[in-house]
Amino acid sequence: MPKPVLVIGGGIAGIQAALDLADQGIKTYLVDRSPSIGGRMAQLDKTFPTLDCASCILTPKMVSVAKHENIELVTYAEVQEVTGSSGDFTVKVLKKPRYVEADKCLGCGECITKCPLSVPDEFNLGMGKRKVIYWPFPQAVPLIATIDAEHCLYFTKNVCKVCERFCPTEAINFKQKPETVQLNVASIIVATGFQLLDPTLMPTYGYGRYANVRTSLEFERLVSATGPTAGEIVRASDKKHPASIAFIQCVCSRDVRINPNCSAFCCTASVKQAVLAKEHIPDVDCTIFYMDLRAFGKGYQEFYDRARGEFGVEFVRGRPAKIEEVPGSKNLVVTYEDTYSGRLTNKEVEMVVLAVGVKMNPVQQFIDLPLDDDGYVKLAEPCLDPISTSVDGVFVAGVVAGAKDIPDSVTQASAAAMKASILAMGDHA
Amino acid sequence: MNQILPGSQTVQLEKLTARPEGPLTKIDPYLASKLQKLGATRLALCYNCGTCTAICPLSKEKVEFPRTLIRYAILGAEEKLLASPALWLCYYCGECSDSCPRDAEPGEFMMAARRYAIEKYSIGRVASVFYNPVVSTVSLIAVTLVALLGILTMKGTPTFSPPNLQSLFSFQIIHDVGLWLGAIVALSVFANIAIMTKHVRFSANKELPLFARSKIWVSNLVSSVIRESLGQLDYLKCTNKNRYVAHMALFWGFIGLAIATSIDFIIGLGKIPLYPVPPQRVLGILSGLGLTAGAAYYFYKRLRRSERHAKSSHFTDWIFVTLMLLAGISGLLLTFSLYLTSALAAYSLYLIHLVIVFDLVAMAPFTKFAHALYRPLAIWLNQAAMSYNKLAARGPR
Repeated sequence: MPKPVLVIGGGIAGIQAALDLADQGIKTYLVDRSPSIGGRMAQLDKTFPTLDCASCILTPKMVSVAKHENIELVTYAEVQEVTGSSGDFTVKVLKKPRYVEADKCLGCGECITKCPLSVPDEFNLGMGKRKVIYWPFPQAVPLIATIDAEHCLYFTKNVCKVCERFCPTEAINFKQKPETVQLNVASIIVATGFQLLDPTLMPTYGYGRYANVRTSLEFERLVSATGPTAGEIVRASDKKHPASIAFIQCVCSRDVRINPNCSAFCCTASVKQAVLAKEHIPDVDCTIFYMDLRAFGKGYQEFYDRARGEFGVEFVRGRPAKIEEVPGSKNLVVTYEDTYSGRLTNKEVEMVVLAVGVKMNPVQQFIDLPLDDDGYVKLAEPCLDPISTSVDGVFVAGVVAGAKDIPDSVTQASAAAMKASILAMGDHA
Repeated sequence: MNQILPGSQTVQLEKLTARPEGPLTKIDPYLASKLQKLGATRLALCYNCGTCTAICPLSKEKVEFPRTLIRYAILGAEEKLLASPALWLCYYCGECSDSCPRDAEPGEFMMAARRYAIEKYSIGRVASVFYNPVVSTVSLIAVTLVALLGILTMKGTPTFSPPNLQSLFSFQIIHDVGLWLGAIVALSVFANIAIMTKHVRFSANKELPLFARSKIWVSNLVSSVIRESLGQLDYLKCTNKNRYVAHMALFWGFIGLAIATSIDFIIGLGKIPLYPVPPQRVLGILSGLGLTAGAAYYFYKRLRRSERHAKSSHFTDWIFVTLMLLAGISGLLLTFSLYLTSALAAYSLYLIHLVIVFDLVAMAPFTKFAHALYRPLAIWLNQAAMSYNKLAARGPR
């Protein structure tokens, strides 16, 4: 029997790695800290360059993970400690209590309907609300309700218990305790993904001060049918469709004062978002402000050409210096130099979308992986082995090894699965 | 002949293959490295995003800087750089450098480009002497020695109680030397003005006739040049207002001293009594205080390197600000020592003061001091060209 493998992080990279390992007959643990797998890709509306619906191509993979006999899904759990060495790692995982018995929950949603308290919804980046007993999104895998103990009236004020009363299978268990499990694995794939940098690090763009300045991820939720506005692109100030949108590239990226790295996917992602905006609001005027348009992947240049020619997205080479809000209308005046004509210009738009750069989610708290100068996990051999870390038996996939888009993440994930499986097979190969 | 590119972009091939109109730009491949030597050390880091131009409180439509000028420098388009009046519209508040995503220091580039322009605009490229650290030091010492020797050869018999500057040497000599120096400096100034005008007019604003549109020249002289020179209101657009106050104190101190000196000069130095204190001396003392305070502010900031504009100082910055400060201090102390009838102090301070003022004035058209000349001129040329273009756009009457 081959030894098991651990995949940390259930985003698209982790999902792909786990599926590839499991398909080889290797027992695979897939650990995710949130109640559902899916990661960042689940938050996206469409993917470039094909404009596939992200959920439509992601959800089947998520379901495959849940159904796979060789995959043990450990969600709502944190990896706490990794000891041992290549071929024989011992991993301590803390399973947080959901206060819902996983084997009893049917996923009917009755508790969610009846729960009296709503709080801002992380999945929609605080733009919408969710109940205190919830699943992050309707296609969640596993589809098990989770009680958010921080806000739950029972835990904060010792009242309510409405969910318990209405649950048809008596799955609610307020006495659940955190549980630590130990896993023994041959190799580990770290696919813990990324977070956006803080857009207020660029104070001249006014994120947080101006209602109609949004991040690219927020725009993604706005434009998505499962989002807080059911797919309507609306301004926060007056709930109206914007007549014009400015997309600003390299916010907190390629800036030595904040983060010198290129975040790799924002260029094509913004091109995609402009196209989506045009599809949602046909006469919307979309302008993309960029320094260099790095549409480097297969089909990306053609996608850019289409956005420009077919959809009439305007491209301006210039990095805006500042955004000012017009007091009454809450419109936004973008000040920039069009560097092709050399003209200093102001443009008034009704909405601004900031393509905010990314950084990897920290992993140091559970695994001692050296980082490179760019702040991402150090690769053993960046050119010929961009999968292995400097720790034997630990591999990386996705943005944790450097910013990359979905196709590249999936490619790296499959490669990491292969590397990890070699160790798992050991003498059984 | 049109070609359809993917994404249905139509490109006119004639446009792509056409020769550019007008004369071709001569390229100096060493321009960027020359500017680097003059202080633009981080120039090559620029990736032309335009943030500096868009954040600059003084850059405006049709007079965009610094990004365009950095581009000229990197391409080696020396003529285009020297033809840009925008070089002189910058007050170096440093906001561009603060917001540069590459930390390429656009503000320091502008400063270096002005140093380069001072060299190139000077008659016979004399200013190059003062922008080479070795040659500059030698020349400064030489000019100082010339002044010192000149004074010492005219030694009189000094009387010690009370001190009488006239007794050290005749005021007639000071008078004559002053006139000669003034004439030489004035001639250099006129020559430099002509050179700069030629650069700016015959490239950037070629369409502006020098004599035909006298009305434009005159109206802009009053409305922008005099206003901006005397009030320097554009300086107030920079965030740091202290620098404006310091610059105004220095500037008006200098003007006040020039007026006071001229009055003394006309009346004749020997005929001015200590008591009752004559009005031009009151003006002189007040102006001297202003000049010294302003120069001290800039000296202190450069020493502390606490602000963007004072972070890196070229040796020419130090020479200028130091001479200015010493001229102010020695002048004030001289006046006080005369009133305290301290003869030895008065005579030595008199010597020091004369030498420093001689250095400062003699080198003025070829050093950082020349910005006082080029800045108003650039404003004038630029404003005149703008109103001429506006007029031309309206069409013939």
